[in-house]
Amino acid sequence: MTFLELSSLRKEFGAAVAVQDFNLQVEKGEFVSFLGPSGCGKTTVLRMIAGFEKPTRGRIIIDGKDVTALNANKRNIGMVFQQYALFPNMTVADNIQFGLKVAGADGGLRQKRIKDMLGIIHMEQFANRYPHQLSGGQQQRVALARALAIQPQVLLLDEPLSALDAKIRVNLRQEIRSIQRQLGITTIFVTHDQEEALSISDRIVVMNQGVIDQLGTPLDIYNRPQTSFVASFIGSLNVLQAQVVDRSAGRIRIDGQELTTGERIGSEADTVTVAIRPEAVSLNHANGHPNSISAAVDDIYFLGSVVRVRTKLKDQFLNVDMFNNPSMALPARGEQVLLSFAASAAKVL
Amino acid sequence: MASVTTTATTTGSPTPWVRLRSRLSFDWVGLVPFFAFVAVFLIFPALSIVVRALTDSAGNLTLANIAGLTNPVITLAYQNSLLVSLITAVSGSVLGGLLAWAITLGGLPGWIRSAVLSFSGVGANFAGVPLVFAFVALLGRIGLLNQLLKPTGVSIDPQTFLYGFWGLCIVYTYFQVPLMVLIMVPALEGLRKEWREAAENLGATQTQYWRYVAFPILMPAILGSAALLFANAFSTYVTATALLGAIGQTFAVTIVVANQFRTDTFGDPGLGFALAFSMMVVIGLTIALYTWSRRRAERWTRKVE
Amino acid sequence: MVTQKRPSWLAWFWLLVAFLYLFLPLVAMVWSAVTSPRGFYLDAFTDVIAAPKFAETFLFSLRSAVFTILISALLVVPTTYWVQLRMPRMRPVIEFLTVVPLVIPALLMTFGLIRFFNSVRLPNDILLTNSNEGLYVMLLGAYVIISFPFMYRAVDAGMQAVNIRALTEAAQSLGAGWFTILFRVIFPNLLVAVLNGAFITFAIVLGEFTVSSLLNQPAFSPYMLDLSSRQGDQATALGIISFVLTWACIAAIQRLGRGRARVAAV
Repeated sequence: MTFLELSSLRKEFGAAVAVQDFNLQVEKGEFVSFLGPSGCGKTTVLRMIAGFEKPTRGRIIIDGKDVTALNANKRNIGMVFQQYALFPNMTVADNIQFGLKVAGADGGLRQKRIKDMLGIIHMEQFANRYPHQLSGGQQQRVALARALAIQPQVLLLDEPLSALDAKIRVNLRQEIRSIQRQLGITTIFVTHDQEEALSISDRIVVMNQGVIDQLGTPLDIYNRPQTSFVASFIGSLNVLQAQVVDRSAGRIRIDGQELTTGERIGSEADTVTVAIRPEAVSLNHANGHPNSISAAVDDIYFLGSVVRVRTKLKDQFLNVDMFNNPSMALPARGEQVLLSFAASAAKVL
Repeated sequence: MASVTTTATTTGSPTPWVRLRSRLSFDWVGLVPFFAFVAVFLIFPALSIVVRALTDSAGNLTLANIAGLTNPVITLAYQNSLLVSLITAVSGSVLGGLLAWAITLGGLPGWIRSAVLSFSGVGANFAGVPLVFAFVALLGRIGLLNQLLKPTGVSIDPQTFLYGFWGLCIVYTYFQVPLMVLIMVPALEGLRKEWREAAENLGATQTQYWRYVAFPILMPAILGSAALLFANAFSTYVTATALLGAIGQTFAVTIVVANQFRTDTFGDPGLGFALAFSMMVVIGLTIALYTWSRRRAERWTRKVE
Repeated sequence: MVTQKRPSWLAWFWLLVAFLYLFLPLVAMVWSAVTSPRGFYLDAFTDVIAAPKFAETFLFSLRSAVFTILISALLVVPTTYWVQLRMPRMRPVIEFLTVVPLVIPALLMTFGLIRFFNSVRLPNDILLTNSNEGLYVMLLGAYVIISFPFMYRAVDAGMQAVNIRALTEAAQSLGAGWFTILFRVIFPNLLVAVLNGAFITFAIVLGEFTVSSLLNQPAFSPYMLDLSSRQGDQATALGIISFVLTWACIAAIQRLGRGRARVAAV
């Protein structure tokens, strides 16, 4: 059942169109991420849902009720901001109960809610601290508790992790996800970090230049990018120029070597763009894959859990990612290697 | 008056050779001219006031000078000075604060903001003799206002509204307002947009946002600025003497100090120094209040990573 | 923005109130200087400018301002440079000392100066406080102290902006000596900052009354007050001139600094 519905949203700032033709239906309890580069309009959509921006056109419906014309303070939507949005003059407890206080809730309920929320974010002993006495990660957890304390219908997270250190970022995003599951709250999460979006979302909306490029599960988005923008934005990807050999059989030629792709080629052009994930290619290991091409090792990059081998075909480069494993024998630079991959791994865009 | 946040120090840790040299060498010699100058023209003179206030003419320690401050002429001058300072600190804070709000958050066009800021730079420095001329030209017996009011038969009595207590309040407020604007504009700009949005998001109305969030956050800055305005008014001498002239020779503390110092009006040199010393104490306390509230304001807005 | 719902008529209202309060006196001042029972006239301006005493006191204040600026810059620039480069530990001390003059009234400072120098005798056995040269030195000393807050802030900010340490180390690595570094590298890069401090000092010294009046020096502002009891309209004309000069100085700073004027002006 659709809980939050955005239909034909459009937002113009003066002559500039920030968002157009935005349609989205979110189920109750679903966790949806808006992913895209900065300036793609994802934050604008979020701010329209919150009520900070008025859509130029389109409707926002929450639980069957049209809220498009409603003021932000009447919407009952919780929001966590990018950074430092805690009220600096209030303690953690006062921050958390702020929403209830302005709504006129009685003291008993407020105290109970403070206790519950502090429990959820595991910060019981910090109730009387001020925001400036907390670390960035703690501040964002309190901000989350404050947003949840009003028991909002929808939770909006506007890049809540981008100001934090890498390690805290990973912990906190897992915590956010588990709290969200626990409460079953419908959540929109805005980020420009694809790893973040892939790791915690039910569905991802990839946005580019104000429009939705692709909407799907993380697996979908990663494995079946539908546009070259999505393909290049998500993960690292080898993008190669190829000549068409046989359109119906999906045969192409890259730098003189012939390959089979997963499907027939729709494009009428003689030259097409082919995308191959670096981790889909194996090195000197045929595995029964139909595609095997030879290349020379150009350079080797050690990335921690992954080793990336950059190989050169004739004119174009192709990266190969392998899991780091202590017994692994790495090729030498300049060595000729055999690259193998499944037909479905090569995607014509 | 001080109102400016010190910019963060960018000097990194000294390079090794600098550190080594500073341990062995006479780097402090480079600071001697500055310190010598400050000592001769600021510190020793200030100390000499303190010392003389606490000793008699023969150099013996005494509190007689301080006790002399109970002289009714002095207590009356103090009463006037403190009241005028308090009233103009409040009037300047209110009017200046509202003006600062209008040009930052009030949604006025940008050119008004820069025009007001640049006028404030001038206005805060526009105290003294010309300012008095301006108000005499406006509120004086044959001033602009009385000329304009002539057809109505109403007239403003300069003895009530200009050459006295209320006149001082009106004229002082003139330089207090721009000073307040200069101090409050950065504070108002420090109000994060996210605070307003977070409050709104949690269901707060405009009034609730100002009452629970914005106003408490601004409070230390407002208090500190008011303290600064108070000290500013309390130490004003030129404006007072130029406005009151011969009729106000004992009206404000600064005037009393200046006269005592020119002609020894009390016939007691020690009393003049005690009076000067007491002024330093009042100003010192005010500045302490300013520093304290400034610390508080900075603590709240400091970033924690 | 949707969140900016507050009607801006309130902002306009307070702007209007402040505008009336801040501009009516100026309007009245101009009006009183250019009107007479006979109508519009500019005699007050021409007369006062022609008066020999005007030139005398104005030049006196002008000269004092120039000396003040020179001494202040020569003390502040090397000191600030030295503190930033070699003795960062002294920075809070210098900052404190340069803020003190903002809060100590000029009246008390002059009082203390007279008391302190009262016992100093010149070689010809005249009390320092009894010789005109001695009083002038005290006047300049007080002015330089008064200028410190503005000069220091401007120069300090200027040095941080150009990263003086990197400049010095670059010059050293290229083989420059201390003299070259100071006069060919540091000063030219700080010209704007020093000018900034100079303009505000200029405005302050021109309008300064307390010190010059208490030390019996023939400065511009005491003359203006003195004149007002005899030639009201001429004095007012002087007031307008002085206001315009202040405004010109602040405008010059804003043109130079863009935003640093706030620092200098307060």
